Amino acid sequence: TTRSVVAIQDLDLSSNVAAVDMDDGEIQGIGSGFVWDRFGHIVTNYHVISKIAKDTSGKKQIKVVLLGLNGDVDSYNAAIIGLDASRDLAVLKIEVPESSVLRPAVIGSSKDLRVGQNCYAIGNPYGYEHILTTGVVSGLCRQIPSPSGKPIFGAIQTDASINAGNSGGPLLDSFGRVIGINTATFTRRGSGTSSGVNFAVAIDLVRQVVPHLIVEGAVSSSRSVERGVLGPPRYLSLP
Amino acid sequence: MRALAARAACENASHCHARAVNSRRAVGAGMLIFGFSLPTLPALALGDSTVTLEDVTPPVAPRGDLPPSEERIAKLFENNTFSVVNVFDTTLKPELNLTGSVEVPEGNGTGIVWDKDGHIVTNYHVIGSALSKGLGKKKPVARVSLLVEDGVQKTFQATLVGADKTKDLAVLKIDAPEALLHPISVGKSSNLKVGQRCLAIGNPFGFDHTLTVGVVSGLNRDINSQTGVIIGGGIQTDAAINPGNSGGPLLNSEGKLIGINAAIFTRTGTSAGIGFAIPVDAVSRVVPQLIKYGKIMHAGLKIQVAPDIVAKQLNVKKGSLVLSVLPSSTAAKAGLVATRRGIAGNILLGDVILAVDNLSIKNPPELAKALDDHEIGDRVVLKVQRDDKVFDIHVELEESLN
Repeated sequence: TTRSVVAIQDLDLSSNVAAVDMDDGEIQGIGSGFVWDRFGHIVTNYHVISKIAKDTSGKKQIKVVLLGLNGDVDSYNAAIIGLDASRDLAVLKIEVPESSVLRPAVIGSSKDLRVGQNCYAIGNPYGYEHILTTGVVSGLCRQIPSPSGKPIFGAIQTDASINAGNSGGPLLDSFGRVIGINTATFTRRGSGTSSGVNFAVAIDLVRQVVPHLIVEGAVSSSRSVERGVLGPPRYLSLP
Repeated sequence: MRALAARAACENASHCHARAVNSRRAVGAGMLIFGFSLPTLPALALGDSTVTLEDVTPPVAPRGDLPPSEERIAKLFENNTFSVVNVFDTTLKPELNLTGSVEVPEGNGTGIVWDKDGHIVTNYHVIGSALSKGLGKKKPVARVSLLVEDGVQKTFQATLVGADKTKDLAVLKIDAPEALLHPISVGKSSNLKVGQRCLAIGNPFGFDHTLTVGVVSGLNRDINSQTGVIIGGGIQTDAAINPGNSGGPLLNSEGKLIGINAAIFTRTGTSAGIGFAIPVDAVSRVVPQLIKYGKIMHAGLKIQVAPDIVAKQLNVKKGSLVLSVLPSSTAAKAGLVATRRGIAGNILLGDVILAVDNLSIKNPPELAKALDDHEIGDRVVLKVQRDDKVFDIHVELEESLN
């Protein structure tokens, strides 16, 4: 999976440079994302790139950094393809010289998840240094707020640490499949530290929404998508 | 209301839990961090017209069965989650809705189903507000929510059966049908080993029936309980324990209760990987007494000792200064001398207890704990300082004064 997980960096070009020279820019706002398909689409959280998405000065550029074929770290300019603030999802696109550079992540499903199974949150905040936190699935079908204020349903709760570095990156199961996108951690106001109560947007929701984000650019925030998709059909038979 | 619409939306899916109506509250003092700021942008994104929906919908990779270790933990949770309940102190005001429309079940603490009679065990401090208002026995003090099916909860009024501040334990009773009560399986804490796996189930921040997993990090710890007393023999764990987990079970890898989560060491108010549980052997001794008598009898002496402030004023720096001794008590018979006034009106200091059975005592809570570790009727040796002489007094323990 390491080749599938990318770094997302906001490049802020200094305003007093006349010519647009990327190399003089300052890198800000770091998060993770992962390769969705061989066309160069990258999936991440909306909040990872929200500052750039709202920027009207034209001086901000998103860069995606990933491990190349021979171990090199390559950086690409990314275009924003689709945004969904109500589900905290965003899709970017990069142009690569050859598609073998891209290793799409293996996608799993969240409906057959069980509380107690292991999960692994991967991030790549700098592009060359993967970070891994591990834990178990702590709870399912949780409701968490999204950047738009509307709730996100069906979120996976885990005690694997989720932080700014791995936010936007994938949450994997023991089979190496993506089961969610690392999105948020619960913290008391002002402390800023993780508490062991962390959340990921469920992959079943992501898998329904992202293709529409790619092709259409946005998705209606009506909950018809959730209706078809969410909820693990678990049977907890009473002992 | 948005929450109700959400429930309707989820019903058609194979349940994203149809939650019981009466237990939703917004995420209160906590918050979820993102890096965002409102308001959000209308869609500026254009979409990618070079691909079709099919092109960009990846296949779902299948998975095999879970590896045996994961399967075990998943089964452990599934079998034991029905024994874990939400406990909400009814004298507390509900938290304000601070994060928009997100609703999270109420429950400022967790409890454990103890038996088929409907007894629920939790921490004293979980219902501390109700207890401090002096609500008597058999009065409703809390609401307890039982998990009926996956995601569905049923709420009951709970009455107080008994509580003990020094052990930070309380027993409640609910009137629920036997079929809904799934008592926890009780284990032992005397043979625990540091490093063995343990699981905590609870309601941190109101997220009900949350599972966190870790190991036994240490044994025999002194827990600084929220009730202000020191509880000995505590089990330390790195399973994430947060406010809301109090009163919930710590299980071993066989699903047996080894402790009740009671406290955390933290500088931020949330889990830092250092959590403490009251060992089940202590719980097993205390709960039957609470059920039968409504209180527990603490071993001690019928004496009053000076609190720290008073002791400092009287220049007693170490040990416990005896202020008064009940005349008919075993302490009086053993010759323990109380603080009294001299003929000139000056204060004559009583005995200062320096150690119990060679365990040195620095302050009153340590004295109480040292004596409480014994049974009523035990004989102990007190190292006592009177004026400038230090000597031993042998005394038999009886029920302590408070």
